[in-house]
Amino acid sequence: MLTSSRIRLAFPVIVLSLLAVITWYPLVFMFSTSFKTRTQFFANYWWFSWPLDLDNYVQVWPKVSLAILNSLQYSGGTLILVLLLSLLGGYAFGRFNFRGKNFLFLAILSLLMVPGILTIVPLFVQVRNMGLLNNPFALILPWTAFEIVFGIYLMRLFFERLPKELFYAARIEGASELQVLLHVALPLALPGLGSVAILDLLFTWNDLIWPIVAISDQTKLPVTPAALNFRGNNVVDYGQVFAAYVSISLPLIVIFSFFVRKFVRGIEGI
Amino acid sequence: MNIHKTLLLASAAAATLATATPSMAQTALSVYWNSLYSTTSEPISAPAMNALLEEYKKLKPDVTVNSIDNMSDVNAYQAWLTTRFAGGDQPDIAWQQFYQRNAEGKDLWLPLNDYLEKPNPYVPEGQPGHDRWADLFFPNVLAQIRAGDGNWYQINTDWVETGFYTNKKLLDDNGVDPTQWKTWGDMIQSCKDLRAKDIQPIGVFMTPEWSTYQWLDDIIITGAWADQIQSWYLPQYSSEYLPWRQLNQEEFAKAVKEGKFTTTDPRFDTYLQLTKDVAENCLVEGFAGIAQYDDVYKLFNDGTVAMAWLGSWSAPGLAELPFEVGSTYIPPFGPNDSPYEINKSSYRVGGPSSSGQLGLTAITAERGTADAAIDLLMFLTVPANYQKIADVVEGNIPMIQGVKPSPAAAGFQDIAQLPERGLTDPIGRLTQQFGTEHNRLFQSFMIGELSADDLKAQYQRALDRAVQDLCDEKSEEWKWCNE
Amino acid sequence: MTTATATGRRPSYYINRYLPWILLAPVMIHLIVFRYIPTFSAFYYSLTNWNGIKAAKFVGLRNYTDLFTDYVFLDGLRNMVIYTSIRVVLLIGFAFLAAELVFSFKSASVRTFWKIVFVIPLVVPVSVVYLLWGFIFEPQSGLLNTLLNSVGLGAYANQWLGTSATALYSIAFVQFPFVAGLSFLVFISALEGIPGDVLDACKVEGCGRFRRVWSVDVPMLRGSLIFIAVLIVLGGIQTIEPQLILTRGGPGTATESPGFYVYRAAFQYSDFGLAAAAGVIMVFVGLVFSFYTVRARYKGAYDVDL
Repeated sequence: MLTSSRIRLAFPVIVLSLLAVITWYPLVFMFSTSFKTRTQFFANYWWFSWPLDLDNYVQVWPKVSLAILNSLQYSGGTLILVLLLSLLGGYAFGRFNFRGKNFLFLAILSLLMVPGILTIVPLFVQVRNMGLLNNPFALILPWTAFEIVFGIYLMRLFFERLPKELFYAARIEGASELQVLLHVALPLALPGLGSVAILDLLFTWNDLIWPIVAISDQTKLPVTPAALNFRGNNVVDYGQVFAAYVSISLPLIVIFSFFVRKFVRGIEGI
Repeated sequence: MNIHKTLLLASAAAATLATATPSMAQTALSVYWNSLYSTTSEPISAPAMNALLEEYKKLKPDVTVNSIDNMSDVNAYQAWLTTRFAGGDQPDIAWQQFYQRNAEGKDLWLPLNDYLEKPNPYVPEGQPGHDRWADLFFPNVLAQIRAGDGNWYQINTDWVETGFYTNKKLLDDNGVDPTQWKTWGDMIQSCKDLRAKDIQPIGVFMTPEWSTYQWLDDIIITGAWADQIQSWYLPQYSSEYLPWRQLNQEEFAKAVKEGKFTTTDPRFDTYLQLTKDVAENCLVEGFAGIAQYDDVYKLFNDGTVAMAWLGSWSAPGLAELPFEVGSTYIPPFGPNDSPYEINKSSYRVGGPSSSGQLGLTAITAERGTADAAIDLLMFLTVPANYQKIADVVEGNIPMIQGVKPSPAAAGFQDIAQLPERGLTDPIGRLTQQFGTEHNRLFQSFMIGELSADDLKAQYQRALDRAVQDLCDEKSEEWKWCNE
Repeated sequence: MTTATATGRRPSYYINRYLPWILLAPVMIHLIVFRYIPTFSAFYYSLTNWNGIKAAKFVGLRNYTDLFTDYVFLDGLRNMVIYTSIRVVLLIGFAFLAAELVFSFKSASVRTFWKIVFVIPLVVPVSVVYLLWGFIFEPQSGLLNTLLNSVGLGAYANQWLGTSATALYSIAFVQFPFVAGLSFLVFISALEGIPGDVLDACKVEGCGRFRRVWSVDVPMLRGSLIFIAVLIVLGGIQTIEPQLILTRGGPGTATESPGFYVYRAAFQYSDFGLAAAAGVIMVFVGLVFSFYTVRARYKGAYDVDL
């Protein structure tokens, strides 16, 4: 019976489901195309074609799995560095006062205004002069520099929200600052770090132009530039390209499902 | 330490050094081969390329050829190459589009003029190329890849052709037969017929940058100015073997500067009229919103357009389509279409774009690798050697004397015999900035958002500015700039 | 227990006093090397005519005057304003709507379910999204026109990307009406952070759903809303994917953007001076915009009790 309370209950679910369908469609599209042969693709773009063809995955897997391994290495390395530096920076801004604090913070935040495309060439020259081309650090170090701006901002917010008593107590007990950092700040920071981690992974996993510029060895490419190479030289095979895209998205989906809770806790109070 | 020991150590060190030094100096060449010649990413031609490189290694053991992995996305390659130049790590030999390479000129690329005059030691006696490397290449090829400053910065081992691919069934069902087209007007009429039945006639795309529209423009501008083109030739680029050839950047710039190519000329009105005709009647609706070649290919594949202007490099994929594919070409301009036309046939649009555009970077002169690089190219262009690649590469037509095309490419031989288009793609006619401006203005005009008069005013300004920029750069080579 | 140094102070005194600086040192070094130096290099290039090979020659403000007399760049700036405004409204609107709807569920596990639902699509690469929407906008076989025709609204079918009138709006409406995962998460967690007594107080006064949203939620979420808006605007200023994949700036200059201008100047024309100048202008636009919003957010930011 369509009572007003039932409608009131159903209404959010209906609207959310509609929004979810729209939001999910690109993902579904990616999936459905990845199982298509070229003929199937040109016959129908919008939904699955049966029978599903697994050949695309067979074709792309060798190179994609290599790219995923590469990306795990690069993104993993970046993650560690980003978490470390964001923790230190967020802690410094979030729980201390010092001269020049506001100025420094604004200086860091203002880096958000600098588009990546502006600094690609100078950064390249610099990285090259440091002899880092084709090296994992050619990706890890610049990526870290991009991500810690946001990371410090988030961690600062996070640390500011913590009650001062926790730190006060530890210091009263005579703990050194290092101990406070390791045993009080770090454990409390974990949810915040979780959200920084998700943002960082999204960025490094999807970055396209910089890896192409910094890495010329095609077997060392991370996932997103590697997926471009499936385009084919004469005629684009969307099925293969999308099989590559799906494959490289899978690790992210797994990681995200686990970390959503942490992420949400970590961004409270923005 | 006493003297004795030191001396012993020193001589031991010297001895080690001496034996460690190779008896021959090693030269390393880094090469970026474009797609069809990639040693890694092309399953069909990679074995042939690798076999050739192996053979070369046996001939020249002191030269190591490092083939850089292919990047199939041109934007990616461009970003990579630009940064390599900025950092001093550019390859020794690299692919690049002729118009961009020629625009970049000797800042980035090495002039090959002297090398082209040298004998090619790998060509057997009595065959073209033995005495002079340039003889291996066709004169019209060399004429077209020559830069505005008179230098050659690349060789072309092959060319692409373009053609009209047709969906035979769709055309037959609707009573359109391209083989019956005698003139441009017939083609326009067929387009109208198709439109009347709600079918999209021709798939072409257009952006402010390169697009297949440029091919169309090349033909139209030639048809509108055909009677003037030969009068703009400069003697240093001409040869009696080629009474009709493509205009060079310098020749066109001079024609603009001297007011011979101008928007006030009635020929320009014909140019605009022909453009408008084809845009309104023939081109697929929404062509100005299609940004990728792949999208046109897609429209043809799924039956949205009855005909598509595609490159020969797409030919291999067309065999898989569910309908029969025919191929044809644009018909010539009749007197009703352009009163200025003097040729009885249409024009060839194709190369110099191709995979086989290879040039040396300017830095090879400093590195001392230039001679080795040229030697590699000379080896590659020997007809007997290149034939091995031509046999397997299907989408490109070999442009080395004596090399036969593969069966798939042979179908383009007829088109390859047509006279050259009078001007190259807009993006290569003057400056690249002019090219994008041309595309923007024409795009707006073709979709009815810019009037002919406004276009003419802005276009003339763009022409003048481009010639001004070129003259600023090249005033030493282009003497007429100062008149 | 501790040893005194020559000055009579324990080492830990110095660490305590200078700790923030010590903590920030690695951060600042890293940022200086990999962000500030390249940025100032780019600033310097913008005053030269560097083309990647020839030694850069100082040309003063010529690149900037060129930019401000280039209608392509100016159109790009104008487009950016329109595009960004639309994006801010769309993205915040739907993310906020979704957050409010999810917030209305009492069960935490239901909420977590919806959070996961809206986060997973983040893994789709941006290029796939634009590729897909290119298909959707296609005049003949595209989804949008097909749908319009099938419900009898064929009169509205258009060449979405092929006409100046609709091109910019088309790319601004890409993904409409999707829920931006990150914004959604920020909003839902902010909503969950509203103290319960505030919500109760409102209920006591007899707030209906809408009144609560308007007078409680929005003010309490002011910080998040501003934060997300700033991010979207910055993204809008730097936008480049729709141009790279869908329009290349056309038709005419209908979808030009400053970001694409930089890309083209750098990688096609090899005019790094001009590209850098355009990039510098983008930085300043971002700075001016953010300055007021960030200052408003941090006004009254309390000094931390240690």
